[in-house]
Amino acid sequence: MREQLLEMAGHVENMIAQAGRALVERDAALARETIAEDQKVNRAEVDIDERCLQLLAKRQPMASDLRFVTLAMKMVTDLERIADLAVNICERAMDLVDAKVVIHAEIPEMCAAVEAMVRDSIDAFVNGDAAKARSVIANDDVVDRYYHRIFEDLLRRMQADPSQVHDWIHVQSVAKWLERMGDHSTNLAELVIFMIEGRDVRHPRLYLGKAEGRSPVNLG
Amino acid sequence: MSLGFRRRLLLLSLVFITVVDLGVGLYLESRLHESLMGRYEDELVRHNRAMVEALEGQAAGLRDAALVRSELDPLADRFGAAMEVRVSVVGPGGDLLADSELPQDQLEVAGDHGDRPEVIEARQGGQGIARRHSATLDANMLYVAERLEDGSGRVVRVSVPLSQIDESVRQLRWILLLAGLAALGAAALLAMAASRLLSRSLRDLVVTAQHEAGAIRDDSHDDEDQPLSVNALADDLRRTVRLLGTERERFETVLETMGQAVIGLDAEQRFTTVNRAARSLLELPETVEGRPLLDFVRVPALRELVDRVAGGSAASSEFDYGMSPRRRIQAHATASRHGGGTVIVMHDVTELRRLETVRKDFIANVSHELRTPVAVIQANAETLLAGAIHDTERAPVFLEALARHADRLGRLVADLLDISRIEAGRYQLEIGPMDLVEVVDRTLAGLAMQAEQRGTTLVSRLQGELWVASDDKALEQVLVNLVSNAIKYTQDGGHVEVDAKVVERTASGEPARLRVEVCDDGPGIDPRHHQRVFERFYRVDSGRAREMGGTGLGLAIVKHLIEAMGGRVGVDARRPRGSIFWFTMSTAVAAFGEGPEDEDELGGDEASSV
Repeated sequence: MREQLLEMAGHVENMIAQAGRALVERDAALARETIAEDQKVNRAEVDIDERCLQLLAKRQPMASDLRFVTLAMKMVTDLERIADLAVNICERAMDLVDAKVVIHAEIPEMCAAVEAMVRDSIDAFVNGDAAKARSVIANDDVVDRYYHRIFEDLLRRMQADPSQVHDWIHVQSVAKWLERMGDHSTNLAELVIFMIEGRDVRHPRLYLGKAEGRSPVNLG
Repeated sequence: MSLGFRRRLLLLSLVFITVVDLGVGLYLESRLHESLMGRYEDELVRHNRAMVEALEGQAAGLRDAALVRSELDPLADRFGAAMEVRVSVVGPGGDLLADSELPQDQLEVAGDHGDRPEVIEARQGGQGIARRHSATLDANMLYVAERLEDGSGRVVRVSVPLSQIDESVRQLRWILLLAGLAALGAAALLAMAASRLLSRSLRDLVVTAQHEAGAIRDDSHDDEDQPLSVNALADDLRRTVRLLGTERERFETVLETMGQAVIGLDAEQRFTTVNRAARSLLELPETVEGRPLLDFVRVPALRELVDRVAGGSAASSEFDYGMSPRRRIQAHATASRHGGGTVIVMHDVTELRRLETVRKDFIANVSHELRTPVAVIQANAETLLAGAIHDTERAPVFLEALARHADRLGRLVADLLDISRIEAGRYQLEIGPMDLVEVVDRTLAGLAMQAEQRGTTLVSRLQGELWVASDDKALEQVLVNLVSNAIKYTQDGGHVEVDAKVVERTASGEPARLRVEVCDDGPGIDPRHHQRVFERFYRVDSGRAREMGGTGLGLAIVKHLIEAMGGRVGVDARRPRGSIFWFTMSTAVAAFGEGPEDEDELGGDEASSV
């Protein structure tokens, strides 16, 4: 199952990279290819989910095994969402193939940053490296900053040249989706930390008022 | 040698059996001797008891020794004969009162028996046992004596000669010896059979092992002469292990030094072999052997490739890998013959693929660029020939177009020639120290007119003096090309700036390398073109560029000139908008040692721009 999960992650990483390239290089064929790859990711999601349910029903795993199974179920959901966003970007890339607009140089950078986040969270999962997972969470801020800069600039450009608003809006959606991918990668990283340390690092504010000892749902 | 081994084995087992046999025989004999002795003693004690019972009270009242003797001696004689022992009675004074072995008349002269150890013991404790030489009979005897409890103070004593016991022991010893010999013979036979069996299986082992080893051993070694022995086998094994070690070392050296990336996977797709090139190409950590491929490389294309060759065929594929920089990797996979593993050989074809595109595009572009003016020239010439030459009003228009395009064609060819000369290294560059600030100012002044027409502001941020190592004409050409490009592609009312930054310093802290930047605030260049704008005839927007009158070679010339002077060129997006064209160059200090002037003036400028 671990192998299946890694394979799915490989597809997702590849899709992000290809979506970014299809957009920047205005390559409709690559975009179509990437959209086709989504089928494999969907297939993998269904398979992994089914296996997890079977495992839960038949083997009744305990402790770290239980954490692994539940984590896998959540991870596939996030991975699948990322793949869907990559598909969305590819669709926009196909719309933008003939557009005259200059795509921000920051879009490929942002794309690389998101791909790195997904890759690093999977690497953290593989190597049980909580520090790496934390660095992914920290990197989400970088992606957010990219998004805000691109958004501000797009606003300015749209005001200056309203004739191309249609294309600019497409570019804006791409940036937005990349930012969403970053959020999903953060979720992945949080799940990985949960798997390694058995500690829930989501929504830190939930536990702010309570005593240090309040450790949320400790399955370990 | 094999026979010797067998004989040795046999001899050893025989010696072993003999020693064991002897040891057992001696032990058995001593045990038998002891137990016989014990039995005789018991018997004598019982006989003695009977004698005591028979003699108690006999002639108890008599005081005269002769009377007592005549009374007791016949009794002793009878009992002695019946029990086949010597029976004696010793009086309280130690005189012999009766003895079955001596006639009655000799009893008196037999001497004092009171000093015999068994008699003394019997007198003290009721019973005494002794094994000693008898002076009376001149033989080794076993004695048992007991005191009579009828108040007469006499002691009854029975004895047998030890020669009787010795006789029994001798007989037993013979039996033992015979049995030992029989056992020895049987054992020898068994040992012979066992040694033959053992040596045969050993010989088989040696022969098989040497046969196996012979397959790997070098042929110069004549193994016919080698005796079949365990020692020879050990030698063979040692040689084989050494040979394999060298082989492996050689294999690893080749693997590590080869430029192609090689990875070996087992049937479960775990790493078995990874060479250095593969580590750097796939950005793998130091120890990956034994870990699954998917832990590190999750490229779907590579996984599909591995699955594809699992059937035993070979296949190749190409895929992109990594992020900074992204590389194109060509991979050939072959299923290994044993165990269902896979060997993958990879090379980095990024540069190859890029050059292929460049060449393809160059051919297409150059024909296009050349065709346009040629077509115009042809059309105009044909029109003139068709009679327009006599139309004095319109002929100059055609002629002018003809001249303009001929001129364009000429410039194009001249530029192309320049580039090929620079590329071939035949373009004479005279590199010497010069003041960058002065060259920039001169360039901007030359282009001021062009800028003014479009309402573009030209600004140099450089002040003072900045000595660099360059060719005067080449540097000016580079700057002219870059700045005029910037003016052309910036909309009216734009800004173009020239700036320089220190990117490298000498050991003493002097600037060693500068990065000169020409920045504009135009619409910017789409990131997909960044890699390619320096290619010959590469057009970001073909229609628009041609109407500006460029040949499509300006940036290519810049790139070639800068590279000929040992620098690098590039373009970055400027934030929030615009582009930065940059190139790097050495300072005069770094290139010629002591510069003509010190570069202190850069100080203030650096602070503002870095």
